[in-house]
Amino acid sequence: MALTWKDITGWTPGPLDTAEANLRTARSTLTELADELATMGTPSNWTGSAATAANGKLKTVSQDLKDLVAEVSAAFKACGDAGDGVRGVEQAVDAAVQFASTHQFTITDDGKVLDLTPQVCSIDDTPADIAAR
Amino acid sequence: MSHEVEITDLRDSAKAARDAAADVEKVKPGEALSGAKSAIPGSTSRATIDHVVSDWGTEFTAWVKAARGYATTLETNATQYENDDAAAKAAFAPAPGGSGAQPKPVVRRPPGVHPKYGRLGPTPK
Repeated sequence: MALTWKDITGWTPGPLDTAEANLRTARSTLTELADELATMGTPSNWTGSAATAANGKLKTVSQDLKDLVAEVSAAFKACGDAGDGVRGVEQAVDAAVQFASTHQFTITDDGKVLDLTPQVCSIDDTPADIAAR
Repeated sequence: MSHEVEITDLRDSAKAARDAAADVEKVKPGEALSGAKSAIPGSTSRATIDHVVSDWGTEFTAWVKAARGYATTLETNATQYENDDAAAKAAFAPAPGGSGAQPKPVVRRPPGVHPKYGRLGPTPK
Protein backbone atom coordinates (compact mmCIF):
# COMPACT_ATOMS: atom_id res chain seq x y z
CA MET A 1 0.00 0.00 0.00
CA ALA A 2 1.27 3.43 -0.94
CA LEU A 3 2.42 5.75 1.76
CA THR A 4 -0.12 8.50 2.48
CA TRP A 5 0.09 11.95 4.02
CA LYS A 6 -1.93 10.62 6.96
CA ASP A 7 0.70 7.91 7.51
CA ILE A 8 3.50 10.45 7.47
CA THR A 9 1.78 12.75 9.95
CA GLY A 10 1.80 9.73 12.31
CA TRP A 11 5.57 9.32 12.14
CA THR A 12 7.30 9.94 15.44
CA PRO A 13 10.88 9.24 16.52
CA GLY A 14 10.00 8.12 20.08
CA PRO A 15 9.67 4.37 19.41
CA LEU A 16 12.89 4.42 17.35
CA ASP A 17 14.73 6.13 20.23
CA THR A 18 13.41 3.48 22.63
CA ALA A 19 14.41 0.68 20.27
CA GLU A 20 17.86 2.22 19.90
CA ALA A 21 18.34 2.35 23.68
CA ASN A 22 17.11 -1.23 24.17
CA LEU A 23 19.27 -2.53 21.34
CA ARG A 24 22.29 -0.73 22.83
CA THR A 25 21.69 -2.59 26.10
CA ALA A 26 21.24 -5.89 24.24
CA ARG A 27 24.42 -5.30 22.26
CA SER A 28 26.39 -4.51 25.42
CA THR A 29 25.17 -7.66 27.19
CA LEU A 30 25.84 -9.88 24.18
CA THR A 31 29.31 -8.37 23.66
CA GLU A 32 30.27 -9.15 27.26
CA LEU A 33 28.99 -12.71 26.90
CA ALA A 34 30.83 -13.19 23.60
CA ASP A 35 34.07 -11.93 25.15
CA GLU A 36 33.68 -14.21 28.17
CA LEU A 37 32.97 -17.19 25.97
CA ALA A 38 35.91 -16.50 23.67
CA THR A 39 38.37 -16.25 26.56
CA MET A 40 36.92 -19.13 28.54
CA GLY A 41 38.64 -21.86 26.54
CA THR A 42 39.15 -25.41 27.69
CA PRO A 43 41.82 -26.83 30.07
CA SER A 44 45.18 -26.02 28.47
CA ASN A 45 46.63 -29.50 28.92
CA TRP A 46 43.56 -31.27 27.56
CA THR A 47 44.72 -33.01 24.40
CA GLY A 48 43.47 -35.54 21.87
CA SER A 49 40.61 -35.71 19.41
CA ALA A 50 37.93 -34.88 22.00
CA ALA A 51 39.83 -31.73 23.02
CA THR A 52 40.33 -30.72 19.39
CA ALA A 53 36.65 -31.24 18.62
CA ALA A 54 35.57 -29.27 21.73
CA ASN A 55 37.92 -26.39 20.90
CA GLY A 56 36.59 -26.31 17.33
CA LYS A 57 33.04 -26.22 18.62
CA LEU A 58 33.87 -23.42 21.06
CA LYS A 59 35.47 -21.41 18.27
CA THR A 60 32.36 -21.80 16.10
CA VAL A 61 29.97 -20.93 18.94
CA SER A 62 32.05 -17.86 19.87
CA GLN A 63 32.21 -16.62 16.29
CA ASP A 64 28.48 -17.18 15.77
CA LEU A 65 27.73 -15.07 18.83
CA LYS A 66 30.05 -12.33 17.56
CA ASP A 67 28.15 -12.40 14.26
CA LEU A 68 24.87 -11.96 16.14
CA VAL A 69 26.38 -9.06 18.08
CA ALA A 70 27.33 -7.44 14.76
CA GLU A 71 23.74 -7.82 13.51
CA VAL A 72 22.29 -6.29 16.68
CA SER A 73 24.86 -3.50 16.45
CA ALA A 74 23.83 -2.75 12.85
CA ALA A 75 20.16 -2.60 13.88
CA PHE A 76 21.04 -0.32 16.80
CA LYS A 77 22.80 2.11 14.46
CA ALA A 78 19.98 1.89 11.90
CA CYS A 79 17.41 2.80 14.58
CA GLY A 80 19.52 5.79 15.60
CA ASP A 81 19.81 7.01 12.01
CA ALA A 82 16.10 6.37 11.37
CA GLY A 83 15.18 8.29 14.53
CA ASP A 84 17.15 11.29 13.30
CA GLY A 85 15.53 10.99 9.87
CA VAL A 86 12.02 10.79 11.30
CA ARG A 87 12.75 13.86 13.45
CA GLY A 88 13.50 15.72 10.20
CA VAL A 89 10.30 14.44 8.60
CA GLU A 90 8.29 15.45 11.64
CA GLN A 91 9.66 19.00 11.46
CA ALA A 92 8.98 19.18 7.72
CA VAL A 93 5.40 17.99 8.23
CA ASP A 94 4.85 20.59 10.95
CA ALA A 95 6.30 23.31 8.69
CA ALA A 96 4.07 22.27 5.78
CA VAL A 97 0.93 22.20 7.93
CA GLN A 98 1.82 25.57 9.46
CA PHE A 99 2.50 27.09 6.03
CA ALA A 100 -0.77 25.76 4.64
CA SER A 101 -2.72 27.02 7.62
CA THR A 102 -1.13 30.49 7.41
CA HIS A 103 -2.26 30.75 3.77
CA GLN A 104 -5.71 29.33 4.46
CA PHE A 105 -4.99 25.95 2.90
CA THR A 106 -5.36 22.53 4.38
CA ILE A 107 -3.72 19.21 3.51
CA THR A 108 -6.05 16.22 3.31
CA ASP A 109 -5.18 12.68 4.46
CA ASP A 110 -4.38 11.70 0.88
CA GLY A 111 -2.04 14.68 0.45
CA LYS A 112 -4.25 17.03 -1.54
CA VAL A 113 -4.07 20.75 -0.74
CA LEU A 114 -7.43 22.50 -0.41
CA ASP A 115 -8.04 26.24 -0.48
CA LEU A 116 -10.12 27.31 2.51
CA THR A 117 -10.62 30.91 1.28
CA PRO A 118 -14.35 31.75 1.11
CA GLN A 119 -15.59 31.72 -2.48
CA VAL A 120 -16.83 35.23 -3.30
CA CYS A 121 -18.77 35.92 -6.48
CA SER A 122 -18.85 39.28 -8.18
CA ILE A 123 -21.92 40.57 -9.88
CA ASP A 124 -19.90 40.80 -13.09
CA ASP A 125 -18.85 37.14 -12.96
CA THR A 126 -19.80 35.07 -15.94
CA PRO A 127 -20.57 31.34 -15.55
CA ALA A 128 -17.11 30.70 -17.01
CA ASP A 129 -15.47 32.78 -14.24
CA ILE A 130 -17.31 30.83 -11.58
CA ALA A 131 -16.40 27.53 -13.15
CA ALA A 132 -12.78 28.58 -13.29
CA ARG A 133 -12.62 29.01 -9.48
CA MET B 1 47.55 -40.05 38.96
CA SER B 2 44.46 -38.01 39.72
CA HIS B 3 42.84 -35.81 37.09
CA GLU B 4 40.27 -34.27 39.38
CA VAL B 5 41.47 -30.72 38.70
CA GLU B 6 41.26 -31.08 34.93
CA ILE B 7 37.87 -32.74 35.13
CA THR B 8 36.65 -29.93 37.41
CA ASP B 9 37.95 -27.43 34.85
CA LEU B 10 35.95 -29.20 32.16
CA ARG B 11 32.81 -29.06 34.28
CA ASP B 12 33.43 -25.37 35.06
CA SER B 13 33.76 -24.63 31.34
CA ALA B 14 30.56 -26.56 30.68
CA LYS B 15 28.74 -24.58 33.35
CA ALA B 16 30.04 -21.28 31.94
CA ALA B 17 28.79 -22.22 28.46
CA ARG B 18 25.42 -23.25 29.87
CA ASP B 19 25.16 -19.99 31.84
CA ALA B 20 26.08 -18.00 28.72
CA ALA B 21 23.34 -19.82 26.79
CA ALA B 22 20.80 -18.97 29.51
CA ASP B 23 21.92 -15.32 29.55
CA VAL B 24 21.73 -14.98 25.76
CA GLU B 25 18.29 -16.57 25.82
CA LYS B 26 17.11 -13.75 28.13
CA VAL B 27 18.28 -11.02 25.74
CA LYS B 28 15.43 -10.22 23.37
CA PRO B 29 16.75 -7.88 20.66
CA GLY B 30 13.82 -8.82 18.42
CA GLU B 31 11.34 -7.37 20.91
CA ALA B 32 13.38 -4.16 21.07
CA LEU B 33 13.44 -3.83 17.29
CA SER B 34 9.75 -4.70 16.90
CA GLY B 35 8.86 -1.69 19.03
CA ALA B 36 10.34 0.60 16.38
CA LYS B 37 7.56 -0.28 13.92
CA SER B 38 5.05 2.07 15.54
CA ALA B 39 7.35 5.01 14.70
CA ILE B 40 6.75 4.71 10.97
CA PRO B 41 3.15 3.77 10.05
CA GLY B 42 2.75 2.94 6.36
CA SER B 43 6.49 2.53 5.75
CA THR B 44 7.78 -0.52 3.87
CA SER B 45 10.56 -0.67 6.48
CA ARG B 46 8.03 -2.24 8.84
CA ALA B 47 8.13 -5.42 6.74
CA THR B 48 11.93 -5.35 6.86
CA ILE B 49 11.79 -5.13 10.65
CA ASP B 50 9.45 -8.14 10.75
CA HIS B 51 11.90 -10.04 8.55
CA VAL B 52 14.91 -9.24 10.75
CA VAL B 53 13.00 -10.07 13.95
CA SER B 54 11.97 -13.43 12.50
CA ASP B 55 15.54 -14.22 11.42
CA TRP B 56 16.89 -13.26 14.83
CA GLY B 57 14.38 -15.58 16.48
CA THR B 58 15.73 -18.47 14.42
CA GLU B 59 19.39 -17.50 14.79
CA PHE B 60 19.32 -16.88 18.54
CA THR B 61 17.43 -20.10 19.19
CA ALA B 62 19.99 -22.00 17.11
CA TRP B 63 22.87 -20.33 18.96
CA VAL B 64 21.47 -21.19 22.39
CA LYS B 65 21.04 -24.78 21.24
CA ALA B 66 24.63 -24.90 19.95
CA ALA B 67 26.04 -23.42 23.18
CA ARG B 68 24.15 -26.00 25.22
CA GLY B 69 25.41 -28.69 22.86
CA TYR B 70 28.96 -27.53 23.52
CA ALA B 71 28.34 -27.65 27.28
CA THR B 72 26.96 -31.16 26.95
CA THR B 73 30.06 -32.22 25.01
CA LEU B 74 32.30 -31.03 27.84
CA GLU B 75 30.13 -32.67 30.50
CA THR B 76 30.10 -35.94 28.56
CA ASN B 77 33.89 -35.91 28.33
CA ALA B 78 34.23 -35.09 32.02
CA THR B 79 31.98 -37.99 32.94
CA GLN B 80 33.91 -40.33 30.67
CA TYR B 81 37.22 -39.32 32.24
CA GLU B 82 35.79 -39.81 35.72
CA ASN B 83 34.74 -43.33 34.79
CA ASP B 84 37.84 -44.22 32.81
CA ASP B 85 41.15 -43.32 34.45
CA ALA B 86 43.17 -44.56 31.46
CA ALA B 87 41.29 -42.25 29.09
CA ALA B 88 41.81 -39.34 31.50
CA LYS B 89 45.53 -40.09 31.70
CA ALA B 90 45.79 -39.99 27.91
CA ALA B 91 43.65 -36.87 27.57
CA PHE B 92 45.51 -34.79 30.13
CA ALA B 93 49.06 -35.87 29.33
CA PRO B 94 51.62 -33.05 29.35
CA ALA B 95 51.95 -31.33 26.02
CA PRO B 96 54.92 -32.32 23.78
CA GLY B 97 58.09 -30.50 24.83
CA GLY B 98 57.44 -31.07 28.52
CA SER B 99 56.95 -28.58 31.24
CA GLY B 100 60.66 -27.74 31.35
CA ALA B 101 60.67 -26.22 27.85
CA GLN B 102 61.29 -22.48 27.92
CA PRO B 103 60.17 -20.04 25.24
CA LYS B 104 62.89 -18.82 22.91
CA PRO B 105 64.17 -15.49 24.25
CA VAL B 106 63.49 -12.45 22.12
CA VAL B 107 66.74 -10.76 21.06
CA ARG B 108 66.35 -7.01 21.01
CA ARG B 109 68.79 -5.10 18.83
CA PRO B 110 69.19 -1.38 18.49
CA PRO B 111 67.55 0.05 15.34
CA GLY B 112 69.64 -0.23 12.20
CA VAL B 113 71.67 -3.24 13.41
CA HIS B 114 71.35 -6.23 11.08
CA PRO B 115 71.53 -9.62 12.84
CA LYS B 116 74.16 -10.93 10.37
CA TYR B 117 75.89 -7.86 8.96
CA GLY B 118 75.87 -5.62 11.99
CA ARG B 119 75.18 -1.93 11.68
CA LEU B 120 73.78 -0.81 8.34
CA GLY B 121 74.75 2.43 6.67
CA PRO B 122 77.66 4.74 7.51
CA THR B 123 79.47 4.22 10.76
CA PRO B 124 78.49 6.95 13.19
CA LYS B 125 81.31 9.26 14.23
